[in-house]
Amino acid sequence: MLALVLALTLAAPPNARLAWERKCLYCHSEEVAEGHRYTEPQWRRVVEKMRLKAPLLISKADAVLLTRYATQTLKLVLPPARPTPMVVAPLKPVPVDKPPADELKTPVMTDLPADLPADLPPELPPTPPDDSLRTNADDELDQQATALIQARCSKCHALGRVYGRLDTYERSLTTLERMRLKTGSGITDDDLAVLERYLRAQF
Amino acid sequence: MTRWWVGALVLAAASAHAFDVTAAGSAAVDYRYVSGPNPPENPSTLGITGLTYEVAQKLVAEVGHGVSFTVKACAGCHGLEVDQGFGEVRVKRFFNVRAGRLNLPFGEFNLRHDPTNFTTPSKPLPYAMGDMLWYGREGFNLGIVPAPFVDNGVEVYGSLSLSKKVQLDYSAYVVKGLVGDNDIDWARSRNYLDINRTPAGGGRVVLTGEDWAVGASFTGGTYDPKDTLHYLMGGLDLYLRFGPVVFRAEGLARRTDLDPTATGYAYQVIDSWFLKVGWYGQVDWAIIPQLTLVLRSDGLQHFGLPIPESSIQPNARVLRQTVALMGRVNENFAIKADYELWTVTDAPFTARHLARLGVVVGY
Repeated sequence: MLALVLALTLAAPPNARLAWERKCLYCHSEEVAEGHRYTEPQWRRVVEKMRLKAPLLISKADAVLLTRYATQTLKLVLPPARPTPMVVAPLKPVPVDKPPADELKTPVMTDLPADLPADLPPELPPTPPDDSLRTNADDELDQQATALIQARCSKCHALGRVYGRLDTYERSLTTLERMRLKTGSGITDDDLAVLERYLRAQF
Repeated sequence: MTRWWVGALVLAAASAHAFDVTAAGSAAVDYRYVSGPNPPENPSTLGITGLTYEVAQKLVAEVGHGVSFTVKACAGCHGLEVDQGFGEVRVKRFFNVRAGRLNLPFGEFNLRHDPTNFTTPSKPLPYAMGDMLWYGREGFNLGIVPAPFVDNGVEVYGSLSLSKKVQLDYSAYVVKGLVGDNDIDWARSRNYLDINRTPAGGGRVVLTGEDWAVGASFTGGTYDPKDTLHYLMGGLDLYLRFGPVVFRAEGLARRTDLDPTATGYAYQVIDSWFLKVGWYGQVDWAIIPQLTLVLRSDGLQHFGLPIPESSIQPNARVLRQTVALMGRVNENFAIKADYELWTVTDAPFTARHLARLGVVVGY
């Protein structure tokens, strides 16, 4: 079992595990984060809900990566629906014009699991098959902005509170401007330009 | 007067829908155990070996065009107080103005005086108030500068780019000033009315780079009703960051005039002033994002004539070594614990072991 877990962990792209730890396990315990089973679309909605709470902690690119990691690597997906047990009954002649019995229909899951969080965002479009639309510049911007937030904001604040405050584009900009002018904040014009571009991309 | 401020806070909260209002708050509870018999007295509600608390709520209303209003109320050992209550106009990056009840930028620690913003359960000794051992007029009579450093006045501040990565931040202010009788009294200094005719002034400059900052602060004024007794404070601070390790150090000093006509001095009055020097060096190592190990060494040194009520010697000194851990349970909740070794010279006791356990909730 241990070998299987190890193999699964190693099989995942290294940055996906790191992202899971840094983004999801930043606020949640492992038991909570990995204790649920959802379908792939449901996972996308859960991750998107978390992203809306802390859009700078979980970027758009992270959301895709985390969903894929949860569903494909950690296999935190609902088990496939069991076929309905076959009922053995004496053969009776079936009239030709009647439809087949309801019991033989393929079961379809219409209800959401009980532990799925309420107030999820609306159904999302399917995940793009790859990140081909993202450019190197996007990745570079993500990395730069994340490093800047960690370096500048953590000088005074716990990062969790920072991510919680920067929740809308307008509020993020005014908060950044106010913080920049704190004596000794160290947030330069260049830093602000990077953070503004990043914010624009996230909201 | 406090009722007016609280009213303003409530009104600001009620009208939250009219502006873009950002709210932030914190609550901290700290249990302290001091070893040894007869621990020195402390003004906290239940004494030095008991619990203390601090609660704060801040609202910032952005009304547009770079104008914002900030109100922050807090409660602690001295009851309900107004920590901040000012209007602010952000004109240009290099020139901005705020007026009202301000947190004066003196030293690096004062900017992050809220318990959610520092990693140890206690403040560094230069900023220590009733939290320190032997804090009263019979002892060291507090640290160098209060934290928060609250005063009423006007402040001009801004930032200048010196290169792509280096900038110079400045702040200059004119305020009511500190207050006292033959040494400064921080509790009276927070009163809303001035007691003399001369405003106090001060400023701070900080040079910041990619992962470093050096700063200098100064302030001075008169603190008695007759405008005859002066105080002058200065400080230097350093901030360095190496990945998950942050190093901070500060040195601060206050020269305070004494009243030569007062009676009860233990020594002959030759120079009617004393100098108090305080310092700290601190390393924060974020072992993992949720757990930070802190090592701190800080101290206070008194030079010159002790005030009449004091039983310390002219060159009394207190040193403290601290090992602390801060664990962040989640983004809103942290637990802090530390062990502190206090050693005191030229005072009635020599050493005390102190342990603290605190919880901090912030949003």
